Amino acid sequence: MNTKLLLITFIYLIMTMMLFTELGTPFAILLCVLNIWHVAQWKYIRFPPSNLILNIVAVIGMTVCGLSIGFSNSVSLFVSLMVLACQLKVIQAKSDKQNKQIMVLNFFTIPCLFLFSQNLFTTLVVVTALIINLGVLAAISHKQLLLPATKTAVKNIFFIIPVSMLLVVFLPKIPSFWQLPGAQVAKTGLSENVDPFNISELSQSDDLAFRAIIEEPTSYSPPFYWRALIHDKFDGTSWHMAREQNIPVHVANRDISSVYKVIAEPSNLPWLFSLGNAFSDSDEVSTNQFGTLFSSKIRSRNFEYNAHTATAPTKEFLTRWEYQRYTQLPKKLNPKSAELARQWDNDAGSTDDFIVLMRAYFIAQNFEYTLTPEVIESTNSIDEFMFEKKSGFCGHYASSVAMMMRSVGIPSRLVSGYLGGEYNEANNYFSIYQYDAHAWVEFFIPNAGWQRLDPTAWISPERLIGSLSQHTTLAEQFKSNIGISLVALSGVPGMEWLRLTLEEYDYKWTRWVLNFDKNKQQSFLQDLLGNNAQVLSGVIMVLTLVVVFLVVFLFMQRQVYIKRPLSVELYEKLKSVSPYKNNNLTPLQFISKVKEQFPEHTHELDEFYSHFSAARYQGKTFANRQRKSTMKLIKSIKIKTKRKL
Amino acid sequence: MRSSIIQHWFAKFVSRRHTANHMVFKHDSIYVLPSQSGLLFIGITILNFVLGINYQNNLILAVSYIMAILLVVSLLSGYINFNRLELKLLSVSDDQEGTSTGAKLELKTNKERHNIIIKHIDTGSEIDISEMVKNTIIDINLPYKRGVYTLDRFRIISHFPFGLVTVWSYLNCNKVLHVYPIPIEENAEIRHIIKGADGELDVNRVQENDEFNELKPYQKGMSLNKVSWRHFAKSQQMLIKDYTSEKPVSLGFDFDLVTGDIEERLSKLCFLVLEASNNQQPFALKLPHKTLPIGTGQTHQVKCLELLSEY
Repeated sequence: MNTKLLLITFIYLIMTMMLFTELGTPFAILLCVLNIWHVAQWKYIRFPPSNLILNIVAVIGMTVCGLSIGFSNSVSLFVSLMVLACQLKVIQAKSDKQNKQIMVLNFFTIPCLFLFSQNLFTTLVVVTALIINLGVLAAISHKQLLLPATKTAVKNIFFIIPVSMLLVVFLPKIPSFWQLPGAQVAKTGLSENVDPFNISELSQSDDLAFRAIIEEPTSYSPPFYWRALIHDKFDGTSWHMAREQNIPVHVANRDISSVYKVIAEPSNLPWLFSLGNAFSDSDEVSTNQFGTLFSSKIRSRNFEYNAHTATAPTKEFLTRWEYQRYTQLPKKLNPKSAELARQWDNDAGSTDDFIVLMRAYFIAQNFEYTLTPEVIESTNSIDEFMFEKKSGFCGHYASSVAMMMRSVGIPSRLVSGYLGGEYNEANNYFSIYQYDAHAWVEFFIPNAGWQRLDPTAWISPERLIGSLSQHTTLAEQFKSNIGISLVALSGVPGMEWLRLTLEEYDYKWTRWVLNFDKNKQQSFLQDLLGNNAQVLSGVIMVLTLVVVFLVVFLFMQRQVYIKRPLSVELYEKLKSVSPYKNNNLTPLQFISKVKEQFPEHTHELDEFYSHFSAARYQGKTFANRQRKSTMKLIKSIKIKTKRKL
Repeated sequence: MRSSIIQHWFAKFVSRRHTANHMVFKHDSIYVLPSQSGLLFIGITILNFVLGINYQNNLILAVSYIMAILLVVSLLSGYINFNRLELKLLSVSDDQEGTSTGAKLELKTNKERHNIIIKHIDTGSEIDISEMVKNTIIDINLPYKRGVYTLDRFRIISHFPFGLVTVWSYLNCNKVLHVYPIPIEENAEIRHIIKGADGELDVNRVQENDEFNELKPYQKGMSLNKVSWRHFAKSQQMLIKDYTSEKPVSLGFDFDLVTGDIEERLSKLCFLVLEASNNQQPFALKLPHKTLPIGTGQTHQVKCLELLSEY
């Protein structure tokens, strides 16, 4: 068994760890066991196990994959089976030929990581793994040591990467010709049903949700409420997503003056993010009747789209059934809250007054914002929250306020999305993380349309500015929630800087490498080459490649030519102009022959030979003066030879 | 059918271009193609390309471009690793079957080279040099059966770098290699006397008389039995004890008088030839198609052995 293969096993282990959330715990355990088996086999037994055992293990492994990942998630299943097969083959491999096959196959297996994640870190891991793989391949194929082989691999890869990047930029992009099933990523941002009372600890993740580039900051000002989902049905405990959420509507008024770009991270939900009432002119992005955006397919890679704020006339009134829908409430639940709302309604002359009263209550009762609320199990959950617990996060406030407004007949709904974002000044973009997820209320006023109301802001006004990570009073809770990560370490000097720098590189990576699609390529090439850019760039690319390879070839060839010593050079020259150029003579024989032919040059020839032999056999240098006299000699012999012919 | 025509044509082409005892491999005599793993590699490059296109995934696309360029770079550096390599056949060593029959080759280089494999096509023997920095002399063992062979083709292969390409060339040698039979001991009274130039000789008289005459200097091919080891111990001088009456007995070995099948007979004759040669006895050898007259010494022995291998 080959020791170098342990490295390959290790690569599979890292792959599995990186895909831990996608492939699940059973597969990770399976692969760990196989890893240990391989090491044990290598250390104690020294030869591969029998095929029967391997087949049994393969069947068990396939069953584990099938059961734990499921056949619906075809890409994850495929990748897991691929890794499993490669791992077993590594254990089984007997000959160098089989080993080589595994290494070559790894050029397919390792980049499969890109199906799930394409960030800078994954790229580094994949490139490193490929380099190690190539090194092992070289080492196995010509029995070299691993280190020099890997060095060759590194040299080659680092020469190749820029060239292949050029290819990516300039080679005309081909649209996809088959529809392949996408990889299901495990990342979920928002949930389609909001049930705040059942959550004891808001699970926070510092994963990026999306980035936004607002090119005209004047037309949009904070606080940024990124709308994503509308919840219009309340069943007493949770708010359900509106059924029309994924039904596209046509937006008539297309004033596309102020635009912003959003780069959404991979997610297993189609819902996209926008400010206010939005529509989009990007492909595969639709608007629904609530003015939120959604994508026609789920993506396992970053996705960039444009969004515009619609200036459509505000809805002046609701239809009867719409009114019913937005004031629907389960009867006989939360009587105390409903009663409280009724009192405010009696006192207030308008909806605005009602809100003022409501706000005063929340402030007077010292409600608290917390990320770790107590679970409320009673059926009258809002009553319990309003009168007993009095602490919760955005979901609690939004849910209670919406319920109370509905109870007095004000049409209202729950919106979930993100609030805020971290601004990067150098590159002018906002990063919005999963922990920025937020929920708020929208209520309807006839002739004015839907209005936003964020009750959380009454309790914790700080939350409106910036990101949750910048929230001072919640810092402790936030950090303990988020676990070990760079955000959690933001108190340590230098860490914040490191996090922001990494984040900035990742942004550039996403924007310029991952999202370099057909449209971007076209506009980039158009800027660079003018019309006919596609064809021209292809031609330029081919020519560049040819030139690059020629240069490489000549460069590598260069070391072949060895500079001959001056004395030999002169001797060869003399020989080539003399009548004896094709004879096989020793230098001494040659000189004497020439002397016979041209007796008048005897002295010069003798002199040359003495210098020549001194240079060749005694290690003396051939002086410049001697070179000149020899050149003269060569010249005259050349002329005389010609004359004789 | 077609492939056999191509093979035939290629064999002719190789024998025309590569027949020499010394070759410098250059652009017109080096062949470069993807190896078996290289073909798999190309397949995976295409697979990655299709995947990258269909998922619109620039990174997978970049991997496939990297792989394509890696292959081209491999072709180039594989060729350069091979270019200007010289292979020279220095000598062939005739010997008995199963011993060190083989050839001595010299690989000349002006730079560092990797993974050079020399393979003799007829016998399949192989020498693998993983790294060479200077001219190297290689003894390649060619396990032939008894007989006479022209060395024919050596294939020089390199898979450098990464084993994705095969760079190869040939050296087609015309040199002849004799492989002698394995000697089999023969004790039967088959020492037949041939009536040759020396007339009738009595076998039984061998080593009857041992009257010491003189010491002669040792020459190659003389029997070690007669070396005066006493002198050697004293003076490091190899001297041969010469006995007066030891008139060399001429022997004759006849193929038809040895028992066994052809190989066996040849082996027995080989044993006899070596034995006689060791004992400084002149002998003649008779094979059905050719008879070697009585003779003695190293060249005679070689001639006899060659005759035995030719049969």
